[in-house]
Amino acid sequence: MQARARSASVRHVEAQKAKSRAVWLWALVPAFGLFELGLHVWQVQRALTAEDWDRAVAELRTHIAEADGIVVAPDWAEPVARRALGSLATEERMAVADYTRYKTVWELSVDDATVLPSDWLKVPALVVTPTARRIHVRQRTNPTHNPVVTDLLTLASRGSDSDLTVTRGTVGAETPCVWHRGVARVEADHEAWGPARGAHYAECTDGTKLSVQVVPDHDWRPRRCFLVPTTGAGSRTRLVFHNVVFSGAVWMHTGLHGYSEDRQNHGLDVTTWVGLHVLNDANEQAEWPVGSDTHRDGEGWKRFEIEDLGIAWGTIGDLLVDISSDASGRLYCFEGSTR
Amino acid sequence: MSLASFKERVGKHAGLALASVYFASLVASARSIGFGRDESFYFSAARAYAGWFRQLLTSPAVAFTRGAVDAGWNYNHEHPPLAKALFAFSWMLTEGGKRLGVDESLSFRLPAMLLAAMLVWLTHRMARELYGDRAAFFAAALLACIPRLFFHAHLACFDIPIAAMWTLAVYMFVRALRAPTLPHTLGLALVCGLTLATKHNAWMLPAVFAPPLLLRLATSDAATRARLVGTAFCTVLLAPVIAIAAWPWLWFDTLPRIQEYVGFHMHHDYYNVEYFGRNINAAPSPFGYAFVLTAATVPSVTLLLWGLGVVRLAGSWWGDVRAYGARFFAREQRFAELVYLLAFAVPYAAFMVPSTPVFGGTKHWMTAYPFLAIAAGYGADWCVVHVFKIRWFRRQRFAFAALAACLLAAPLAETSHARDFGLSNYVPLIGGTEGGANLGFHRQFWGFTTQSLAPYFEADRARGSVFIHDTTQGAFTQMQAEGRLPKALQPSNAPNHANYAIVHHELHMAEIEYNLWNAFNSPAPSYVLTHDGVPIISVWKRAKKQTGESIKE
Repeated sequence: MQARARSASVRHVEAQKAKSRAVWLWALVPAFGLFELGLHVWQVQRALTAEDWDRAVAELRTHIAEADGIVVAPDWAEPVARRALGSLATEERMAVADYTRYKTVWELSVDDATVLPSDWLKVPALVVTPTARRIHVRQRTNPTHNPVVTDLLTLASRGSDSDLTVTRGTVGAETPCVWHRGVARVEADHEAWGPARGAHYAECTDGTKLSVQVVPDHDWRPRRCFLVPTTGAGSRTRLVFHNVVFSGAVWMHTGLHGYSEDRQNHGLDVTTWVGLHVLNDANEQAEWPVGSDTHRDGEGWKRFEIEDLGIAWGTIGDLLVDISSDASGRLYCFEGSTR
Repeated sequence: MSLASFKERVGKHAGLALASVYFASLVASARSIGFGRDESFYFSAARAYAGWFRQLLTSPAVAFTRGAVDAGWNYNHEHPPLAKALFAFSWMLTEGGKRLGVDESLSFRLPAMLLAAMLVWLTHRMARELYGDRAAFFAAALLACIPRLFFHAHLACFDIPIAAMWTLAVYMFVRALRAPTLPHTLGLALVCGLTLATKHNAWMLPAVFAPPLLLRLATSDAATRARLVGTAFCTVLLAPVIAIAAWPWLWFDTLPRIQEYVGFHMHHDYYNVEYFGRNINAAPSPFGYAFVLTAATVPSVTLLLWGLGVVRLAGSWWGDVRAYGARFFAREQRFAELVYLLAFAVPYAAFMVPSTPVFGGTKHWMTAYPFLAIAAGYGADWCVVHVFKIRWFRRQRFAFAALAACLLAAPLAETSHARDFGLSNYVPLIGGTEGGANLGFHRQFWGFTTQSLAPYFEADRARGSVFIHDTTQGAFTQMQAEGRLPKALQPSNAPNHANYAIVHHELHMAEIEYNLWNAFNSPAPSYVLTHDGVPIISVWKRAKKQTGESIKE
């Protein structure tokens, strides 16, 4: 009897002990409150300042070559990085079509963030500064460098018929657009919405002005490209790039202005036709199609490659680009190069 | 005075004390928060309303003519008038703040601040009636320390007024159904009418009221049922009449204008919000949108306490279900809890409906926060009860104060830190402001952060024109008039010729930013305003040579 009572009493004491131990779990709640406070204070303390970026960029300046690219990760940090970069932050570097053209890219990375494609990460980076506080300056080598031979945007930005001839209108009856030289500006000088205009622009008879500029793509990323608003059914914009040095391929990146690309995919397609001017048997210039691509809403900024041009490496000639759509006013933008 | 009665007094007046401290901190920090674009519209509306009120005093016969009513009330008629009328009264009574020696903007903002304080007090009162002093203290304090709510509580806008009126209407409903007397009924009808006259969130109140009313009707005797039906009819009939009476713009062409008002909000879907790196500006709202943003912006310890409160509540309900069966809602406390639960759930439920557009952010479900805070207060009380069972803890002096500090310190620190950048704030658990940027959440809207550029402009001795885009000209000039921004700057919407240009970093503003690269010949801004290292505004400054070229062209 006594033994049973003692055993019950022991059980009771054990249960009480377990209960009093379990009650300590409640202390985790205020502990969580303190943890959140500590985390907040730590995060505020480690926030990056303009001086941190200046230090990182000062390091970068001592190493970077003119042909090198720059990438900032994560992308929300770009404005503070660009401020520190100053003249290093060119449109060509900051609104790049893709990184394949660069042999070397300098990465300004906060806490090891990266936005480069995964194949770049396989090549060990040369870390120049382990940390300017949390910013790492790294030299990345392109594992699949594909150098540019002729850059179509370079030709377009010269603003001259000798580099790029632009015609626009009904197919077969296009009228020439005239090049003007001015200063870059926001086209609608009111509230800065709507496309901008590059310093040199081709003005067409329908009033459209075509130029190299930076536009937001489907993902609102900056893309430096030649903006060609579409003309509608039965008409096209024809661009003839002169003195293009042809190599193995033509690479093009195309997209629509972020506001023009319908997120519900209701917008009409835009077609890019690419051809060459060649001499035919009668020794006359003829058009020779080499490829085409159709941009559909929702595809965003994309690349298409024309690999087999069927002409000798190093040939210099004209590259034809026709842009057409059944819808007028679609803000189509492209860049291209021979590689 | 015995200790018990002293405690009773402290408990009773704690809500008022917290509300007073909240109001004082709002007033004290008002000058550091710039004016958002919507706020500038409401300043203008309040001035127009004030003109009509003056006319009402000087020549009432003229004031009631259609011409006078339309002249005074047509501006910003897409939103109901009550809050703006209060801003106008405050502006008139304080003579634009001069009588109090404060900014003109503060004279507009005071009514919303008072309503915010009332919301804290009311939350305390509701929680106290259900769960006692301790839960009430935590409920009010946790509500006050929600960073986004604290930010919005500064503004002469509708989001805090509707949260206060919504909560008051819910409270009045519980009282009226508990005792369906004539004063309670008329009080409910009046508050519902005024809530309708505050913001269109009020349209959702029937979804809160109908289920508990039907439940009460089903479980009441015949006499009570008749009184409840009377209360319901009276409210349904009187509330719209009161709303129309409070809105002079509806006095003429009433039906078409109501249709216009309703139509505006049914099709008003052009809000841009960045959510997981995507810009969304049309229905449907992504599934879980409101819950994700709540978790990302309400302090995590508050949500943990809310979770504990819900578990404790579920346990209490389960106990009552077993004890009383289907009639457990006949108990007043359970009935009130059911109503509060619906008042919490309905604002969120609206964002589960596929046709609901994505609105601008957390402010659209802030009506749920007082009820979230009540549950969190209940959870905090549960936590205190259990922690006090730890003998070691119980023996310490100031044990409660220490425990309260542990629970409230993080929300208080986050709220205080986020003050000037309330819409950029995200909780530490997701990485704070930087974590929000990493996840691709919006950092701001309304362009109110322009004021935070004042130190840069002053240091640069800025003069000439500055291109602004999200901040309205009205907001900019008001900030200049109050010495918040240098007077030597002229706001401009023409970037090509401006000496400075600013861009607020929102995803859909990327177009403006890239256009400024073009107009200022460089992607590199001259200055970047940051919060916790995250870009908020970039400023471009034009070199003198560039200005010349632009003008020549």
